[in-house]
Amino acid sequence: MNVAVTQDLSVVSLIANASVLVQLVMLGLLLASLFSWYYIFRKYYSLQRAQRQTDEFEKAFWSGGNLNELYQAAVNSRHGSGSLERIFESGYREFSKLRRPGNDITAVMDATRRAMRATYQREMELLEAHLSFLASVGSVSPYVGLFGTVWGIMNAFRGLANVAQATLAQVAPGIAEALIATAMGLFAAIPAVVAYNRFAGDVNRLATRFESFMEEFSNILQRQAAA
Amino acid sequence: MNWTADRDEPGKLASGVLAVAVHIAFFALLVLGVSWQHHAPGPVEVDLWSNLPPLPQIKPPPPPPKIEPKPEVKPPPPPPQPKVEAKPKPAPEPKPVAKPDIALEKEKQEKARREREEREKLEAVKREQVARAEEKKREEAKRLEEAKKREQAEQQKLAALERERREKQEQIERLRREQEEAVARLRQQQASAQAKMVDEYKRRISDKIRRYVVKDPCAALGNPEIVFEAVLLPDGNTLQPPRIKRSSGSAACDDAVLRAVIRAQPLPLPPDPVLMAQFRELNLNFRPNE
Repeated sequence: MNVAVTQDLSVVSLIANASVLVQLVMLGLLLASLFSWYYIFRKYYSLQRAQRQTDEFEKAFWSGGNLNELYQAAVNSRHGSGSLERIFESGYREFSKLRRPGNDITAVMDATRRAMRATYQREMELLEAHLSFLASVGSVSPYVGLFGTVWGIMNAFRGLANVAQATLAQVAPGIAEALIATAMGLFAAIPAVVAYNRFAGDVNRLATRFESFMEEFSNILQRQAAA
Repeated sequence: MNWTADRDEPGKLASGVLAVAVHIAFFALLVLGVSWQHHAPGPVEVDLWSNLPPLPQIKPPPPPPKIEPKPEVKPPPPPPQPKVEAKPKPAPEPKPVAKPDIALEKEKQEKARREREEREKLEAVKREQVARAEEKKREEAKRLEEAKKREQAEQQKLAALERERREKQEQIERLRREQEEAVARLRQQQASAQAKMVDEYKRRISDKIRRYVVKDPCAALGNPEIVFEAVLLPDGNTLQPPRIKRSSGSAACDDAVLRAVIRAQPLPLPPDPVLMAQFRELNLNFRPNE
């Protein structure tokens, strides 16, 4: 077996010379990485917007505006309204529907809370969408990359078994190409994990804000109903 | 109620573009940033000399002396045109005054004398001018001669420099030749030393084999010569059984020699790996009865 003195170890040739299975692993990792980065950016934008909208609505709400006006504004800007605005809208709609003299205040307030709770859960689902994908990529892709590497190294050593005099030059290309799979797995996993932690924290903070708003808004409505 | 339909998620396109950009950047980093190409250095051949005569330092020949442009020999300035001297104006004629005869005579004499004087003066001036012109001519000739002399001297100097340069070159040439000869001599010495060592070890191998030869089968043949070939390992053992290349004429004698070769293992080999290489495929002329 003749080993060339100078071997072309560029990334492209390494990938091109890898075995089919390793190439498939690399392709899968590349796709995973592409999608995870896509969701990282998307999530980043949408969470930024959700925070901004929540800030704006809280400011508008606590600046002492008329609840009816706020409700009208929320209904009119349905398309671009934020999560908190929707929670407020559904709660206030339920409240104004049920608020009739003779209705029990406790029942009205329970119905309002339930309506707000339902909207809250939908909004949370939207906010948390795709986060589980990031988590899976972060935890699984290192293993997938490792699998490709192990397979590549197995092949490299199997090729070595037929040679009488083993030199490093005969194993090196195989190991290098196998290690590319691990590198790609890590490249996909690290940003995904970091982004997942960051976004999960953001979503949690938003959820806390929503819940406290719901409680406070219920109090306000109850006071209004009692008055 | 389809509660997601009325949502517009921001930055879908931007996210896709950014994700692809991140990967392209990473790939570019991988291709350009990491030097994956490894170049094995080519084999280097080195001659080791244990005692080479110290080489005389060969200096590059000095650059030939610059031939500076000669200062142009300026043609001597044209001699100033001898100024035509303003001729003395003839003195205004004295007004004829009625005078007595003697006085007139005197006057005539006086006039003649004056005219003579005037002529003489003119002639003197002319002579002087001629003399001055001649002197100028002489000076010019002298200057020309000097310039010529200077030129000759410079040419001589140049010739001397050229000669010197040629001599230096010859010297360098000679030194180089001497050095080459020394190297060749040394190489020859080494080769002959090597040949001597080879012979020496061949003799030792023969001696050792001879000790193990059973003499009887060969005794009848007088002094036969057997040529056999053996492939030797560095430890002195034979890789394959030796082969007879030229027989002694008796198969029994050949067999005895081959057996002796095998029994004589390990054969003595020179410790120097360069010499040992010559023993890897050994062709030995062997005389068992010597």
